[in-house]
Amino acid sequence: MLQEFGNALSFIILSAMLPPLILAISKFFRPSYPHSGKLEPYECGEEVEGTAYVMFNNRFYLVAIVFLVFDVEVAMLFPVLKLFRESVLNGDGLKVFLLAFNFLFILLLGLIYELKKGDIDWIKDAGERSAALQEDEGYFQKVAQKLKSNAERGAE
Amino acid sequence: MSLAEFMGGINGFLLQNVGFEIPFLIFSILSAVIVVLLFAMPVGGVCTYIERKVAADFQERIGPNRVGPLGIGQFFADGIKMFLKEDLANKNADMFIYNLAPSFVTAGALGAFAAIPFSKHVIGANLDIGIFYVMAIGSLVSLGILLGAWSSDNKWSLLGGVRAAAQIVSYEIPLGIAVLSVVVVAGTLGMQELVDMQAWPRDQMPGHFWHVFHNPFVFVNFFVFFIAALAECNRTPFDLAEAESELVSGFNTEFSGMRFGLYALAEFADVIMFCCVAVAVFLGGWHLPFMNVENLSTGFQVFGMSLDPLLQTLAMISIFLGKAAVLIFIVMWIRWTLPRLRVDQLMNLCWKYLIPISFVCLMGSTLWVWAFKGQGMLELVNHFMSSGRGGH
Repeated sequence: MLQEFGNALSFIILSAMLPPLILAISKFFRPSYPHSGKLEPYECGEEVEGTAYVMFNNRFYLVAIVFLVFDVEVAMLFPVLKLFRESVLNGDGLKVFLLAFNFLFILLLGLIYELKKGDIDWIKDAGERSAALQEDEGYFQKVAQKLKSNAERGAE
Repeated sequence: MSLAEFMGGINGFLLQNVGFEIPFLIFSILSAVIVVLLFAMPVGGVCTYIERKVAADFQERIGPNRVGPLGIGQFFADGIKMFLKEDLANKNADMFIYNLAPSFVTAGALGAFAAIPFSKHVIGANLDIGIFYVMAIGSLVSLGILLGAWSSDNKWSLLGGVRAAAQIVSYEIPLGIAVLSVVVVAGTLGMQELVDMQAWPRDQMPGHFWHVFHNPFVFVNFFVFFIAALAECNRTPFDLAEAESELVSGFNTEFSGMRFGLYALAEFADVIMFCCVAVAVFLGGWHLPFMNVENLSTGFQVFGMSLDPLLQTLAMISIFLGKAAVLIFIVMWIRWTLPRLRVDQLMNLCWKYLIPISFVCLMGSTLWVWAFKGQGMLELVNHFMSSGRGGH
Protein backbone atom coordinates (compact mmCIF):
# COMPACT_ATOMS: atom_id res chain seq x y z
CA MET A 1 0.00 0.00 0.00
CA LEU A 2 2.92 2.34 0.70
CA GLN A 3 4.00 1.80 -2.89
CA GLU A 4 0.56 2.95 -4.05
CA PHE A 5 0.85 6.13 -2.01
CA GLY A 6 4.25 6.67 -3.60
CA ASN A 7 2.52 6.35 -6.99
CA ALA A 8 -0.02 8.98 -6.00
CA LEU A 9 2.79 11.24 -4.81
CA SER A 10 4.54 10.93 -8.18
CA PHE A 11 1.26 12.02 -9.83
CA ILE A 12 0.98 15.06 -7.57
CA ILE A 13 4.63 16.06 -8.02
CA LEU A 14 4.48 15.65 -11.80
CA SER A 15 1.30 17.74 -12.13
CA ALA A 16 2.58 20.41 -9.74
CA MET A 17 5.84 20.65 -11.72
CA LEU A 18 4.08 21.10 -15.06
CA PRO A 19 3.25 24.86 -14.88
CA PRO A 20 6.73 26.06 -13.81
CA LEU A 21 8.27 23.74 -16.37
CA ILE A 22 6.04 24.87 -19.25
CA LEU A 23 6.41 28.55 -18.31
CA ALA A 24 10.19 28.14 -18.05
CA ILE A 25 10.43 26.47 -21.47
CA SER A 26 8.19 29.05 -23.10
CA LYS A 27 10.51 31.77 -21.78
CA PHE A 28 12.92 30.89 -24.60
CA PHE A 29 10.26 31.40 -27.26
CA ARG A 30 7.96 34.15 -26.06
CA PRO A 31 8.64 37.86 -26.55
CA SER A 32 8.99 40.20 -23.59
CA TYR A 33 8.50 43.92 -24.22
CA PRO A 34 7.12 45.34 -20.98
CA HIS A 35 6.12 49.00 -20.80
CA SER A 36 4.21 51.05 -18.26
CA GLY A 37 0.80 50.59 -19.91
CA LYS A 38 1.10 46.81 -19.93
CA LEU A 39 2.12 46.63 -16.30
CA GLU A 40 -0.94 48.52 -15.01
CA PRO A 41 -3.87 46.50 -13.65
CA TYR A 42 -6.82 46.29 -16.03
CA GLU A 43 -9.67 48.58 -15.02
CA CYS A 44 -11.64 48.90 -18.25
CA GLY A 45 -9.26 51.48 -19.70
CA GLU A 46 -9.73 53.98 -16.86
CA GLU A 47 -6.79 55.13 -14.78
CA VAL A 48 -6.12 52.82 -11.85
CA GLU A 49 -7.79 53.86 -8.61
CA GLY A 50 -5.94 52.83 -5.43
CA THR A 51 -4.69 49.30 -4.81
CA ALA A 52 -6.45 46.03 -5.57
CA TYR A 53 -6.72 45.08 -1.92
CA VAL A 54 -10.17 46.57 -1.42
CA MET A 55 -12.71 45.65 1.24
CA PHE A 56 -15.12 42.93 0.21
CA ASN A 57 -18.28 41.48 1.68
CA ASN A 58 -17.54 39.80 5.02
CA ARG A 59 -20.12 37.10 4.16
CA PHE A 60 -17.29 35.32 2.37
CA TYR A 61 -15.53 35.04 5.71
CA LEU A 62 -18.64 33.66 7.44
CA VAL A 63 -19.14 31.09 4.70
CA ALA A 64 -15.53 30.00 5.14
CA ILE A 65 -16.02 29.52 8.90
CA VAL A 66 -19.25 27.53 8.49
CA PHE A 67 -17.56 25.47 5.80
CA LEU A 68 -14.67 24.61 8.10
CA VAL A 69 -17.01 22.99 10.63
CA PHE A 70 -18.89 21.03 8.01
CA ASP A 71 -15.80 19.91 6.15
CA VAL A 72 -14.23 18.52 9.29
CA GLU A 73 -17.49 16.73 9.93
CA VAL A 74 -17.58 15.14 6.47
CA ALA A 75 -13.95 14.08 6.84
CA MET A 76 -14.73 12.52 10.24
CA LEU A 77 -17.77 10.66 8.90
CA PHE A 78 -15.78 8.90 6.17
CA PRO A 79 -14.15 6.24 8.42
CA VAL A 80 -17.29 5.70 10.52
CA LEU A 81 -19.58 5.17 7.55
CA LYS A 82 -16.97 3.06 5.77
CA LEU A 83 -17.30 0.54 8.60
CA PHE A 84 -21.09 0.76 8.69
CA ARG A 85 -21.83 -2.02 6.21
CA GLU A 86 -19.47 -4.38 8.02
CA SER A 87 -21.03 -3.63 11.39
CA VAL A 88 -24.55 -4.16 10.01
CA LEU A 89 -23.51 -7.63 8.85
CA ASN A 90 -21.95 -8.22 12.30
CA GLY A 91 -25.19 -7.23 13.97
CA ASP A 92 -24.29 -3.95 15.68
CA GLY A 93 -25.50 -1.63 12.97
CA LEU A 94 -27.78 0.32 15.30
CA LYS A 95 -24.89 1.25 17.58
CA VAL A 96 -22.82 2.70 14.75
CA PHE A 97 -25.87 4.38 13.24
CA LEU A 98 -26.64 6.18 16.52
CA LEU A 99 -22.97 7.05 16.99
CA ALA A 100 -22.62 8.60 13.54
CA PHE A 101 -25.94 10.36 13.51
CA ASN A 102 -25.71 11.82 16.99
CA PHE A 103 -22.76 13.69 15.63
CA LEU A 104 -24.54 14.55 12.38
CA PHE A 105 -27.73 15.60 14.11
CA ILE A 106 -25.97 18.14 16.34
CA LEU A 107 -24.37 19.70 13.27
CA LEU A 108 -27.70 19.69 11.48
CA LEU A 109 -29.14 21.64 14.43
CA GLY A 110 -26.23 24.04 13.99
CA LEU A 111 -27.10 24.47 10.32
CA ILE A 112 -30.75 25.14 11.18
CA TYR A 113 -29.61 27.73 13.73
CA GLU A 114 -27.41 29.39 11.11
CA LEU A 115 -30.25 29.45 8.60
CA LYS A 116 -32.69 30.91 11.14
CA LYS A 117 -30.19 33.53 12.23
CA GLY A 118 -29.69 34.49 8.60
CA ASP A 119 -25.90 34.16 8.57
CA ILE A 120 -26.04 32.32 5.29
CA ASP A 121 -28.37 34.76 3.51
CA TRP A 122 -26.45 37.08 1.26
CA ILE A 123 -28.62 40.03 2.29
CA LYS A 124 -29.06 39.36 5.96
CA ASP A 125 -31.83 41.54 7.24
CA ALA A 126 -35.33 41.83 5.81
CA GLY A 127 -35.27 45.64 6.24
CA GLU A 128 -32.01 45.88 4.37
CA ARG A 129 -33.45 43.72 1.61
CA SER A 130 -36.61 45.75 1.16
CA ALA A 131 -34.58 48.97 1.21
CA ALA A 132 -32.38 47.56 -1.53
CA LEU A 133 -35.45 46.52 -3.49
CA GLN A 134 -37.01 49.97 -3.11
CA GLU A 135 -33.81 51.57 -4.25
CA ASP A 136 -33.85 49.35 -7.30
CA GLU A 137 -37.48 50.20 -7.96
CA GLY A 138 -36.81 53.93 -7.68
CA TYR A 139 -33.96 53.54 -10.15
CA PHE A 140 -36.10 51.62 -12.60
CA GLN A 141 -38.86 54.23 -12.33
CA LYS A 142 -36.34 56.97 -13.02
CA VAL A 143 -35.08 55.11 -16.10
CA ALA A 144 -38.65 54.50 -17.29
CA GLN A 145 -39.51 58.19 -16.87
CA LYS A 146 -36.41 59.24 -18.73
CA LEU A 147 -37.19 56.86 -21.59
CA LYS A 148 -40.75 58.10 -21.66
CA SER A 149 -39.76 61.76 -21.80
CA ASN A 150 -37.20 60.98 -24.47
CA ALA A 151 -39.87 59.21 -26.50
CA GLU A 152 -42.24 62.19 -26.10
CA ARG A 153 -39.54 64.57 -27.18
CA GLY A 154 -38.89 62.35 -30.17
CA ALA A 155 -42.58 62.34 -31.08
CA GLU A 156 -42.72 66.15 -30.99
CA MET B 1 -3.40 -3.74 -9.27
CA SER B 2 -2.19 -0.37 -10.37
CA LEU B 3 -0.81 0.78 -13.68
CA ALA B 4 2.76 0.81 -12.35
CA GLU B 5 2.49 -2.80 -11.13
CA PHE B 6 0.86 -3.74 -14.43
CA MET B 7 3.89 -2.41 -16.26
CA GLY B 8 6.14 -3.93 -13.60
CA GLY B 9 5.16 -7.33 -15.01
CA ILE B 10 7.93 -6.68 -17.54
CA ASN B 11 10.46 -7.01 -14.69
CA GLY B 12 9.90 -10.76 -14.39
CA PHE B 13 10.66 -11.18 -18.09
CA LEU B 14 13.75 -8.95 -17.85
CA LEU B 15 15.06 -10.76 -14.78
CA GLN B 16 14.83 -14.11 -16.54
CA ASN B 17 16.28 -13.12 -19.92
CA VAL B 18 18.55 -10.13 -19.35
CA GLY B 19 19.31 -10.41 -15.68
CA PHE B 20 18.43 -7.01 -14.28
CA GLU B 21 15.39 -5.20 -12.91
CA ILE B 22 14.08 -1.71 -13.54
CA PRO B 23 13.41 0.07 -10.22
CA PHE B 24 9.74 0.49 -9.35
CA LEU B 25 10.21 4.27 -9.17
CA ILE B 26 10.66 4.38 -12.95
CA PHE B 27 7.33 2.61 -13.49
CA SER B 28 5.67 4.89 -10.98
CA ILE B 29 6.86 8.00 -12.79
CA LEU B 30 6.07 6.42 -16.15
CA SER B 31 2.48 5.71 -15.08
CA ALA B 32 2.09 9.33 -13.95
CA VAL B 33 3.46 10.52 -17.30
CA ILE B 34 1.08 8.24 -19.21
CA VAL B 35 -2.03 9.28 -17.32
CA VAL B 36 -1.28 12.99 -16.93
CA LEU B 37 0.68 13.92 -20.05
CA LEU B 38 -0.69 11.39 -22.52
CA PHE B 39 -4.28 11.17 -21.28
CA ALA B 40 -5.52 14.05 -19.12
CA MET B 41 -3.86 16.95 -20.91
CA PRO B 42 -4.58 15.94 -24.53
CA VAL B 43 -8.15 14.96 -23.66
CA GLY B 44 -8.56 18.30 -21.87
CA GLY B 45 -7.33 20.00 -25.04
CA VAL B 46 -9.61 17.98 -27.32
CA CYS B 47 -12.51 18.79 -25.00
CA THR B 48 -12.00 22.53 -25.54
CA TYR B 49 -12.33 21.87 -29.27
CA ILE B 50 -15.39 19.63 -28.78
CA GLU B 51 -16.98 22.23 -26.53
CA ARG B 52 -16.61 24.86 -29.25
CA LYS B 53 -18.07 22.47 -31.83
CA VAL B 54 -20.98 21.58 -29.53
CA ALA B 55 -21.58 25.28 -28.82
CA ALA B 56 -21.56 25.98 -32.56
CA ASP B 57 -24.07 23.19 -33.15
CA PHE B 58 -26.37 24.53 -30.45
CA GLN B 59 -26.25 27.99 -31.99
CA GLU B 60 -26.42 26.82 -35.61
CA ARG B 61 -22.92 27.99 -36.47
CA ILE B 62 -20.07 26.00 -38.00
CA GLY B 63 -17.48 26.47 -35.27
CA PRO B 64 -13.73 25.96 -35.71
CA ASN B 65 -13.08 24.44 -39.16
CA ARG B 66 -9.74 25.78 -40.40
CA VAL B 67 -6.98 23.78 -38.73
CA GLY B 68 -6.94 20.22 -40.02
CA PRO B 69 -9.99 18.20 -41.05
CA LEU B 70 -13.12 19.60 -39.34
CA GLY B 71 -10.84 21.92 -37.38
CA ILE B 72 -9.64 19.11 -35.13
CA GLY B 73 -6.20 20.71 -34.87
CA GLN B 74 -7.68 23.86 -33.36
CA PHE B 75 -6.73 23.03 -29.78
CA PHE B 76 -3.16 22.35 -30.83
CA ALA B 77 -2.94 25.66 -32.68
CA ASP B 78 -4.42 27.43 -29.66
CA GLY B 79 -1.85 25.79 -27.42
CA ILE B 80 1.05 26.89 -29.63
CA LYS B 81 -0.36 30.41 -29.83
CA MET B 82 -0.65 30.68 -26.05
CA PHE B 83 2.80 29.15 -25.63
CA LEU B 84 4.30 31.94 -27.74
CA LYS B 85 2.44 34.82 -26.06
CA GLU B 86 4.05 37.31 -23.72
CA ASP B 87 3.62 36.44 -20.04
CA LEU B 88 2.59 39.64 -18.30
CA ALA B 89 2.23 40.47 -14.63
CA ASN B 90 1.24 43.72 -12.97
CA LYS B 91 4.01 45.79 -11.48
CA ASN B 92 2.57 45.36 -7.97
CA ALA B 93 1.76 41.65 -8.34
CA ASP B 94 3.05 39.31 -5.65
CA MET B 95 5.31 37.38 -7.99
CA PHE B 96 6.11 34.50 -5.63
CA ILE B 97 2.47 33.53 -5.11
CA TYR B 98 1.61 34.47 -8.69
CA ASN B 99 4.07 31.87 -9.97
CA LEU B 100 3.11 29.30 -7.35
CA ALA B 101 -0.66 29.43 -7.94
CA PRO B 102 -0.90 27.46 -11.25
CA SER B 103 0.89 24.54 -9.58
CA PHE B 104 -1.93 24.21 -7.05
CA VAL B 105 -4.57 24.17 -9.77
CA THR B 106 -2.84 21.52 -11.88
CA ALA B 107 -1.88 19.47 -8.81
CA GLY B 108 -5.55 19.47 -7.81
CA ALA B 109 -7.07 18.76 -11.19
CA LEU B 110 -4.45 16.45 -12.74
CA GLY B 111 -3.13 14.88 -9.53
CA ALA B 112 -6.58 13.50 -8.76
CA PHE B 113 -6.39 11.36 -11.91
CA ALA B 114 -4.13 9.02 -9.91
CA ALA B 115 -7.15 7.34 -8.32
CA ILE B 116 -9.41 7.09 -11.38
CA PRO B 117 -10.00 3.39 -12.21
CA PHE B 118 -10.04 3.26 -16.02
CA SER B 119 -10.17 -0.53 -16.05
CA LYS B 120 -9.51 -3.43 -13.73
CA HIS B 121 -5.74 -3.07 -14.14
CA VAL B 122 -5.36 0.49 -15.31
CA ILE B 123 -5.41 2.80 -12.30
CA GLY B 124 -2.66 5.22 -11.38
CA ALA B 125 -2.53 4.38 -7.68
CA ASN B 126 -4.83 1.74 -6.24
CA LEU B 127 -5.26 3.47 -2.87
CA ASP B 128 -7.48 1.98 -0.19
CA ILE B 129 -8.76 5.51 0.44
CA GLY B 130 -9.15 6.38 -3.27
CA ILE B 131 -12.32 8.45 -3.11
CA PHE B 132 -11.10 10.29 -0.02
CA TYR B 133 -7.87 11.11 -1.87
CA VAL B 134 -9.81 12.47 -4.85
CA MET B 135 -11.94 14.71 -2.64
CA ALA B 136 -8.89 15.96 -0.72
CA ILE B 137 -6.64 16.65 -3.70
CA GLY B 138 -9.53 18.05 -5.78
CA SER B 139 -10.03 20.84 -3.27
CA LEU B 140 -6.55 22.21 -3.98
CA VAL B 141 -8.07 23.81 -7.10
CA SER B 142 -9.91 26.44 -5.07
CA LEU B 143 -6.65 27.32 -3.30
CA GLY B 144 -4.90 27.82 -6.63
CA ILE B 145 -7.67 30.02 -7.98
CA LEU B 146 -7.79 32.15 -4.82
CA LEU B 147 -3.99 32.55 -4.66
CA GLY B 148 -3.73 33.43 -8.35
CA ALA B 149 -6.54 35.96 -8.09
CA TRP B 150 -5.26 37.51 -4.87
CA SER B 151 -1.70 37.94 -6.05
CA SER B 152 -2.48 39.45 -9.46
CA ASP B 153 -3.26 42.91 -8.02
CA ASN B 154 -6.55 43.55 -9.77
CA LYS B 155 -9.94 44.30 -8.25
CA TRP B 156 -11.85 42.13 -10.71
CA SER B 157 -9.51 39.24 -9.99
CA LEU B 158 -9.86 39.64 -6.24
CA LEU B 159 -13.68 39.66 -6.37
CA GLY B 160 -13.74 36.74 -8.78
CA GLY B 161 -11.27 34.85 -6.61
CA VAL B 162 -13.18 35.24 -3.35
CA ARG B 163 -16.39 34.33 -5.16
CA ALA B 164 -14.76 31.23 -6.57
CA ALA B 165 -13.37 30.26 -3.19
CA ALA B 166 -16.71 30.73 -1.39
CA GLN B 167 -18.54 28.79 -4.11
CA ILE B 168 -16.13 25.87 -4.41
CA VAL B 169 -15.80 25.60 -0.65
CA SER B 170 -19.58 25.61 -0.10
CA TYR B 171 -20.33 23.01 -2.75
CA GLU B 172 -17.67 20.69 -1.41
CA ILE B 173 -20.01 19.78 1.46
CA PRO B 174 -22.95 18.39 -0.58
CA LEU B 175 -20.35 16.73 -2.83
CA GLY B 176 -18.75 14.97 0.12
CA ILE B 177 -22.07 13.94 1.65
CA ALA B 178 -23.32 12.57 -1.68
CA VAL B 179 -20.18 10.45 -1.92
CA LEU B 180 -20.66 9.34 1.69
CA SER B 181 -24.08 7.93 0.84
CA VAL B 182 -22.34 5.60 -1.61
CA VAL B 183 -19.55 4.77 0.85
CA VAL B 184 -22.25 3.58 3.28
CA VAL B 185 -23.71 1.32 0.61
CA ALA B 186 -20.40 -0.09 -0.61
CA GLY B 187 -18.54 -0.22 2.70
CA THR B 188 -15.23 0.69 1.07
CA LEU B 189 -13.25 3.78 0.09
CA GLY B 190 -11.06 2.19 -2.59
CA MET B 191 -12.02 3.12 -6.15
CA GLN B 192 -11.31 -0.36 -7.49
CA GLU B 193 -13.51 -2.03 -4.85
CA LEU B 194 -16.22 0.60 -5.35
CA VAL B 195 -16.37 -0.37 -9.01
CA ASP B 196 -16.19 -4.10 -8.23
CA MET B 197 -19.27 -3.76 -6.01
CA GLN B 198 -21.28 -2.60 -9.00
CA ALA B 199 -21.17 -5.77 -11.10
CA TRP B 200 -24.37 -7.19 -12.53
CA PRO B 201 -25.77 -9.49 -9.79
CA ARG B 202 -25.78 -13.23 -10.54
CA ASP B 203 -26.94 -16.23 -8.65
CA GLN B 204 -23.55 -17.01 -7.17
CA MET B 205 -21.69 -13.74 -7.56
CA PRO B 206 -22.51 -10.84 -5.25
CA GLY B 207 -22.81 -7.37 -6.65
CA HIS B 208 -25.54 -4.79 -6.58
CA PHE B 209 -25.45 -3.21 -10.00
CA TRP B 210 -24.76 0.52 -10.36
CA HIS B 211 -24.90 2.44 -7.12
CA VAL B 212 -27.36 4.97 -8.56
CA PHE B 213 -29.95 2.22 -8.64
CA HIS B 214 -29.06 0.79 -5.24
CA ASN B 215 -31.75 2.72 -3.43
CA PRO B 216 -33.84 5.85 -4.09
CA PHE B 217 -31.72 7.96 -1.74
CA VAL B 218 -28.51 7.34 -3.65
CA PHE B 219 -30.43 8.09 -6.84
CA VAL B 220 -31.30 11.56 -5.49
CA ASN B 221 -27.77 12.04 -4.21
CA PHE B 222 -26.35 11.36 -7.67
CA PHE B 223 -28.05 14.51 -8.91
CA VAL B 224 -26.82 16.42 -5.86
CA PHE B 225 -23.31 15.19 -6.69
CA PHE B 226 -23.62 16.25 -10.32
CA ILE B 227 -24.89 19.75 -9.46
CA ALA B 228 -22.18 20.20 -6.82
CA ALA B 229 -19.53 18.95 -9.26
CA LEU B 230 -20.68 21.54 -11.82
CA ALA B 231 -20.19 24.23 -9.17
CA GLU B 232 -16.81 22.77 -8.18
CA CYS B 233 -15.58 23.10 -11.76
CA ASN B 234 -16.92 26.67 -12.11
CA ARG B 235 -19.13 25.59 -15.00
CA THR B 236 -22.31 27.35 -16.12
CA PRO B 237 -24.80 27.90 -14.43
CA PHE B 238 -22.30 28.38 -11.59
CA ASP B 239 -19.54 30.29 -13.41
CA LEU B 240 -19.88 33.36 -11.20
CA ALA B 241 -16.14 33.44 -10.62
CA GLU B 242 -15.66 34.49 -14.25
CA ALA B 243 -18.99 36.18 -14.87
CA GLU B 244 -18.06 38.38 -17.82
CA SER B 245 -21.15 40.57 -17.42
CA GLU B 246 -20.10 41.66 -13.92
CA LEU B 247 -16.41 40.93 -13.37
CA VAL B 248 -14.81 41.28 -16.86
CA SER B 249 -13.20 37.85 -16.67
CA GLY B 250 -13.16 37.21 -12.94
CA PHE B 251 -10.15 35.54 -11.39
CA ASN B 252 -8.26 35.24 -14.67
CA THR B 253 -8.53 38.89 -15.76
CA GLU B 254 -4.79 39.48 -15.46
CA PHE B 255 -3.55 36.13 -16.73
CA SER B 256 -1.98 36.08 -20.14
CA GLY B 257 -0.46 33.56 -22.50
CA MET B 258 0.37 30.11 -21.22
CA ARG B 259 -0.63 31.01 -17.66
CA PHE B 260 -4.22 31.46 -18.82
CA GLY B 261 -3.87 28.33 -20.93
CA LEU B 262 -2.83 26.29 -17.91
CA TYR B 263 -5.80 27.50 -15.88
CA ALA B 264 -8.22 26.77 -18.75
CA LEU B 265 -6.70 23.31 -19.26
CA ALA B 266 -6.78 22.53 -15.55
CA GLU B 267 -10.43 23.57 -15.39
CA PHE B 268 -11.33 21.21 -18.20
CA ALA B 269 -9.25 18.47 -16.59
CA ASP B 270 -11.31 19.10 -13.46
CA VAL B 271 -14.54 18.57 -15.42
CA ILE B 272 -13.20 15.33 -16.90
CA MET B 273 -11.99 14.21 -13.47
CA PHE B 274 -15.37 14.80 -11.84
CA CYS B 275 -17.20 13.03 -14.69
CA CYS B 276 -14.85 10.06 -14.28
CA VAL B 277 -15.45 10.03 -10.52
CA ALA B 278 -19.22 10.16 -11.07
CA VAL B 279 -18.93 7.20 -13.45
CA ALA B 280 -16.72 5.20 -11.08
CA VAL B 281 -18.72 5.93 -7.94
CA PHE B 282 -22.31 6.10 -9.14
CA LEU B 283 -22.59 4.76 -12.68
CA GLY B 284 -20.84 1.43 -12.39
CA GLY B 285 -17.37 2.18 -13.78
CA TRP B 286 -16.73 -0.30 -16.58
CA HIS B 287 -19.67 -2.55 -15.71
CA LEU B 288 -22.56 -2.94 -18.12
CA PRO B 289 -26.04 -4.31 -17.36
CA PHE B 290 -26.80 -7.98 -18.16
CA MET B 291 -23.16 -9.01 -18.57
CA ASN B 292 -19.74 -8.99 -17.00
CA VAL B 293 -16.94 -7.64 -19.15
CA GLU B 294 -14.36 -9.51 -17.05
CA ASN B 295 -15.65 -12.80 -18.48
CA LEU B 296 -15.47 -11.61 -22.06
CA SER B 297 -13.65 -14.13 -24.24
CA THR B 298 -13.09 -14.15 -27.97
CA GLY B 299 -10.43 -16.81 -28.40
CA PHE B 300 -8.18 -14.64 -30.59
CA GLN B 301 -4.55 -15.69 -30.32
CA VAL B 302 -1.22 -14.17 -31.33
CA PHE B 303 1.92 -16.37 -31.13
CA GLY B 304 0.03 -18.78 -28.92
CA MET B 305 -0.82 -16.10 -26.37
CA SER B 306 -4.44 -15.27 -25.74
CA LEU B 307 -5.47 -11.74 -26.64
CA ASP B 308 -8.39 -11.80 -24.20
CA PRO B 309 -6.78 -9.84 -21.32
CA LEU B 310 -5.84 -7.06 -23.73
CA LEU B 311 -9.29 -7.01 -25.33
CA GLN B 312 -10.98 -7.03 -21.93
CA THR B 313 -8.87 -4.10 -20.79
CA LEU B 314 -9.61 -2.18 -23.98
CA ALA B 315 -13.33 -2.92 -23.63
CA MET B 316 -13.31 -1.76 -19.99
CA ILE B 317 -11.45 1.46 -20.82
CA SER B 318 -13.78 2.26 -23.70
CA ILE B 319 -16.90 1.56 -21.62
CA PHE B 320 -15.58 3.73 -18.81
CA LEU B 321 -14.59 6.60 -21.08
CA GLY B 322 -17.81 6.29 -23.07
CA LYS B 323 -19.86 6.82 -19.94
CA ALA B 324 -17.62 9.74 -18.93
CA ALA B 325 -18.01 11.25 -22.43
CA VAL B 326 -21.80 11.18 -22.09
CA LEU B 327 -21.53 13.07 -18.79
CA ILE B 328 -19.08 15.58 -20.30
CA PHE B 329 -21.53 16.17 -23.15
CA ILE B 330 -24.29 16.80 -20.60
CA VAL B 331 -22.05 19.35 -18.87
CA MET B 332 -21.56 21.16 -22.22
CA TRP B 333 -25.29 20.89 -22.95
CA ILE B 334 -26.14 22.53 -19.61
CA ARG B 335 -23.78 25.39 -20.45
CA TRP B 336 -25.85 26.38 -23.48
CA THR B 337 -29.21 25.74 -21.80
CA LEU B 338 -29.26 27.40 -18.38
CA PRO B 339 -28.60 31.06 -17.55
CA ARG B 340 -26.14 32.01 -14.82
CA LEU B 341 -27.29 32.17 -11.19
CA ARG B 342 -27.06 35.26 -9.00
CA VAL B 343 -24.54 35.07 -6.17
CA ASP B 344 -27.16 34.99 -3.38
CA GLN B 345 -29.13 32.32 -5.28
CA LEU B 346 -25.94 30.31 -5.54
CA MET B 347 -25.41 30.34 -1.77
CA ASN B 348 -29.10 29.66 -1.07
CA LEU B 349 -29.11 26.68 -3.44
CA CYS B 350 -26.15 25.17 -1.63
CA TRP B 351 -26.91 25.85 2.03
CA LYS B 352 -30.71 25.76 1.99
CA TYR B 353 -31.41 23.02 -0.53
CA LEU B 354 -28.49 20.81 -1.48
CA ILE B 355 -27.00 20.30 2.00
CA PRO B 356 -30.32 19.41 3.73
CA ILE B 357 -31.36 17.18 0.81
CA SER B 358 -28.03 15.35 0.78
CA PHE B 359 -28.13 15.00 4.58
CA VAL B 360 -31.58 13.44 4.51
CA CYS B 361 -30.56 11.13 1.67
CA LEU B 362 -27.42 10.08 3.52
CA MET B 363 -29.54 9.21 6.52
CA GLY B 364 -32.04 7.38 4.31
CA SER B 365 -29.28 5.46 2.57
CA THR B 366 -27.79 4.44 5.93
CA LEU B 367 -31.17 3.27 7.19
CA TRP B 368 -31.70 1.31 3.96
CA VAL B 369 -28.40 -0.51 4.44
CA TRP B 370 -29.37 -1.26 8.03
CA ALA B 371 -32.89 -2.41 7.20
CA PHE B 372 -32.08 -4.60 4.19
CA LYS B 373 -28.61 -5.79 5.27
CA GLY B 374 -26.90 -3.86 2.52
CA GLN B 375 -28.94 -5.29 -0.35
CA GLY B 376 -29.91 -3.04 -3.24
CA MET B 377 -33.29 -2.75 -4.96
CA LEU B 378 -32.26 -5.10 -7.74
CA GLU B 379 -30.95 -7.71 -5.32
CA LEU B 380 -34.16 -7.49 -3.31
CA VAL B 381 -36.24 -8.02 -6.45
CA ASN B 382 -34.00 -10.96 -7.43
CA HIS B 383 -34.23 -12.38 -3.95
CA PHE B 384 -38.01 -11.96 -3.87
CA MET B 385 -38.44 -13.60 -7.26
CA SER B 386 -36.19 -16.54 -6.49
CA SER B 387 -37.85 -17.13 -3.10
CA GLY B 388 -41.25 -16.93 -4.85
CA ARG B 389 -40.07 -19.57 -7.31
CA GLY B 390 -38.80 -21.66 -4.42
CA GLY B 391 -42.24 -21.58 -2.78
CA HIS B 392 -43.96 -23.26 -5.73
